Amino acid sequence: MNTDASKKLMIFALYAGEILLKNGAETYRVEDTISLLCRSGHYEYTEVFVTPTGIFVSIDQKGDHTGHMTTFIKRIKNRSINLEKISLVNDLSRRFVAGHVCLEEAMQELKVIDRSPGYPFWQKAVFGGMGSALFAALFGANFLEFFFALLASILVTVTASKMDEASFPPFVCHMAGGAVAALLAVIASGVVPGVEMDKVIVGAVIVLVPGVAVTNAIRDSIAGDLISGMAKGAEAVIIATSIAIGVGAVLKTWLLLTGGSLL
Amino acid sequence: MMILKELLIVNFIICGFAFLFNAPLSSLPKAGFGGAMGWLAHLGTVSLTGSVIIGSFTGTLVIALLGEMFSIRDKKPMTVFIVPGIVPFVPGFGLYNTMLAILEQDYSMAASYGTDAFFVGLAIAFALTIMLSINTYRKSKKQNRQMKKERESDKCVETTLSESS
Repeated sequence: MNTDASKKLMIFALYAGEILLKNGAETYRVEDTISLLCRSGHYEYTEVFVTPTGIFVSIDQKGDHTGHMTTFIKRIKNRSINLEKISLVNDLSRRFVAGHVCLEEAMQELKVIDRSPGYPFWQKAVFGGMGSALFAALFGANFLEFFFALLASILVTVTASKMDEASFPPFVCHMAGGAVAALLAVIASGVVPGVEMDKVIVGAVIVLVPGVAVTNAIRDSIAGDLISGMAKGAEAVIIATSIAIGVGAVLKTWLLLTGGSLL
Repeated sequence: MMILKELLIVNFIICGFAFLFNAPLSSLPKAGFGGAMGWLAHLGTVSLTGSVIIGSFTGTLVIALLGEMFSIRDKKPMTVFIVPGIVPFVPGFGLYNTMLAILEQDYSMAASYGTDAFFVGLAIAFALTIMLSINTYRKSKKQNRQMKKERESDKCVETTLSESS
C-alpha cells in the first residue's frame, strides 16, 4: 500500500479514536477500534497507546517493503459524555472492517457524526434535572423537596454549561454550580417549611457529580490502563472537590450568619 | 407497592440521565429496564446482608449482564446501557455527608462516610470489570472458532485445487 493510502487510513482511524475519546468511551474501546481499523488496512504491526489526553499510534507492515514505519500523535483537550456518538462510531467501524463502506464514504460519515448536535440543550437540562431530583426522591425526599431540587438542578446545569461556553476553567464552572444549588436550597429551606436543605442540595448537584468518572477510573486501573486510570481519577477528584467547595462556601457563610450546626 | 414505586423512580432517573448523556433514543427503555432490575437486586441484597456495598455490587452485576445481552441483540456498545444504569448507585448522599463532616472539622466522621462512599464506587467498578472480562473471554473464543473454521475452509479449497490440477 502506498503512503497516500496509508495516510488516509491513519487519519480516518485517528479521527474515529478522537471522537470516541472526546465523548467518554472507555480507553480499551478506543485502543481496540483504532487497532482494528489499522489492521483492516493490512498493517500487521499496530501499536496504540491511549490516555485521556492524547492518542499515540504507530503502524508498520509485515515483511519486506519499501514503506516507512509511521507514527501519529493526537492531542485531546476537552472531554464530555455523548453515548450516541460512541454508538454510531462503533457501528461505522464495524461496517468499515467488514468492507461494507469504502474509506471516502466512511470519512464523510464520520464528519457527520462529529457534527451531530444531539438533544437540544433545554431537553438535556430539564430531563437531567428530573433524573437528578428523582435521585433525591429515591432517598426519601418529599414532593416540595423534589420540586426545589428540580428547579435547582436545572439552574445548576444552565449555570455550569453557560460558564463552560464562556470558557471558564471546569473547576470554576463546577464551583459555581455547587454554589447556585446551595444558595437555592438555603433560601428554600428558610422560606418554605418542611423542606430539608440537604435533600435539595444532593438532588441538585448530582448532575455534576462525577460518579461515572470515578467508576471508569477504577475500572481502567483494574484493567491495567494505569495512566488513564490515574488521570480520570484525578479529574474526578478535582470535580468533586470543586463542587464541595462551592456548596461548602455557601453553607459556611449561611452558618456564620444564623448560627447552628450542619451535621 | 413501595418497591414498585422505587423501581418506577429508578427507571425515570435513568431515562433522565440518558438524555443528559445523549444516549440513543431507542436504547432508553432498555437501559431503564436494566437499571430497574439492578435496583431490585440491590434492594434484595441489602435486605439480606444489610450492606449497601454488597448491594451495589450485585445490582451492578445485574445491570452489566442485562446491558451485555442488550448490546449483543442491538449491536450497540455496552456503555450505552451501563453508564446511565449505574447512576442510582452513585453514593451522592455519602459524598455530601463527607463534605459536611469536613466542614465541621469532624475528620473521623469524614473518613467513615468517605470510606463508605469510596467502597461503593469500588464495588461498582469490580462488578463491571468481572462482567467485562467474561465478555472479552466469550468474544475471543468466538473469534478463535471463526478463525479455525476459515483455516479449515482454506484447506478444503487448497486440496480441491491440487486435486483438480
